[in-house]
Amino acid sequence: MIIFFISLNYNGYLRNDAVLKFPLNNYPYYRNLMELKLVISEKDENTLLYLDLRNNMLGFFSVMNSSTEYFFSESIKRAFIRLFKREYTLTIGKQYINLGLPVLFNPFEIDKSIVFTDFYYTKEGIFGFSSEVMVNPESGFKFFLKPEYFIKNSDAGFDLYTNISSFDIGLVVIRDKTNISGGIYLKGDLIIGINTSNRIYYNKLDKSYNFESLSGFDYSFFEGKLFFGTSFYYNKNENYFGLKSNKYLYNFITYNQNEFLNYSFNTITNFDDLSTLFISSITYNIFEKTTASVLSIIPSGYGEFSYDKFGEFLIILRIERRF
Amino acid sequence: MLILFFSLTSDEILKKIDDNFVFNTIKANATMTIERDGKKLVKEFILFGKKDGNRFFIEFINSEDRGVKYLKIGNELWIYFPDADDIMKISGHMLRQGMMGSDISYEDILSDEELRQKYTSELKNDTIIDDKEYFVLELTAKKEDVSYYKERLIVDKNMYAPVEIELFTKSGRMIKKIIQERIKNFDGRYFPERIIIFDLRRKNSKTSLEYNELKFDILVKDDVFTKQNLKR
Repeated sequence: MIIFFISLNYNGYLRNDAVLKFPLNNYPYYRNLMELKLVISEKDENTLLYLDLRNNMLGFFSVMNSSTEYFFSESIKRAFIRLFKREYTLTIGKQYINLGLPVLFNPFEIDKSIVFTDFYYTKEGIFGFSSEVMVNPESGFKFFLKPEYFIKNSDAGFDLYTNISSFDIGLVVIRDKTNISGGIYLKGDLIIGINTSNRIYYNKLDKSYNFESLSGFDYSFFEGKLFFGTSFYYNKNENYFGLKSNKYLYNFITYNQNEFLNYSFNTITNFDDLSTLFISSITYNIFEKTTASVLSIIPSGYGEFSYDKFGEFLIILRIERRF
Repeated sequence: MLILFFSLTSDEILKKIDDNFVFNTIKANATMTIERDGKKLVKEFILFGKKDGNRFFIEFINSEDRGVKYLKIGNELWIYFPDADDIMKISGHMLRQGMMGSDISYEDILSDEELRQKYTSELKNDTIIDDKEYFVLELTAKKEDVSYYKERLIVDKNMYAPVEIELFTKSGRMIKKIIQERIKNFDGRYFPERIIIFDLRRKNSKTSLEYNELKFDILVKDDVFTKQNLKR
């Protein structure tokens, strides 16, 4: 038994976020979030066991009333077994189910949750079953099922993907308790990198048809050191995922000076009122396996992301030690 | 007494170099050390390669990058991130970026053409290093769209393996220098166990690649080079 536990692979990180918040209607306050991520895995020729655990300690420190509060929490983000043979892969348990392209606003994301400002955001795994069948080295078929007690409330879908003329192309169909969706995505190069994901979905409750789209491009200079991209998101449905607008513009610029120092600057603009969130970070490798980052979120404009509506701006000092 | 002197042409030397460095399959276990301004990052990976179809597969096994995988098929590259359990295609314009922040660009890895296909060669005067004579070859690209327009190779006369490679832009600026050490015989093929790459556009920067295990022309199954294998 002891030998079994020794033979497992352990990795993860210990991260501390020191957060200074400047709320609109209150005094600045400080909070501290420490997170331990522990991934335990074991793999052989046909099986992968994977466990992704989190342990958090959140502390609030108020200078005004000299109070200190601590909260502890534990969670299992993923716990699955993956079985694989030459032609197929089966995954059972709590897992990330990814269809479409891994980008912000991905129209095909299952259990989509868009929180623009959550630096701590970690996707929550989904209990279910997924499978991937190989057609050829670049083509395949993904299928997932997220079962519920009542079958009609279960989610299911597939992603049929291939690569044609250097473009990754996929056809996705998803059925969930509210919508039936179908759409396509592609990512490839026409000198610049381009990507687009488009989905038509039928709402079974109000019997309406809607359309969701994300299109963007990216390019880099100085041999990939300076990398920028822009994406435009549109959803015909104006009340979707709690978003306050149905049109957003997302821009990013990253400058990787080297493996030890990089800068990133992102903007998210509500395209209706043109208010913008400015999100920036500088990450420095202090020593091997340990980085320090300074992150900031600054609201601006007169709409959704204005200071008086957004409510605060914040600065975070993050220290992360990977193991 | 009749003495015959045989001297190889530059193209013949280049062919012998290609014979050393072009293989049908490769399996390697390597340590990559990235050094900048006195700081160091160490990464370990397992590499599989197959000439047929220009394919390779890399899996990082050091703890902080464990499970990050690269798949190359032809001139396309995908990366798998275990934190997201998802695969991302690398845009073509990003291929000149250093892999995992190293001085080895994705294009350096993607390049599997023989030198003779890409370059014309010219044999220069021999050079002497530590009392030993070496060939000096200068290569010029046949086409414009190559990563390095000119190369200067200092080649061991017995093993036909470069011990030093200098890489130039079209304007003549040297941008990278590669030192190849511990050249060993692998069943008739001379290959370095240690490669040190200096990107001269970066100050105090070098990446060294050390092969801990190296096997050529062994059976590597086609299943390795699939997108599905990235998630396994």
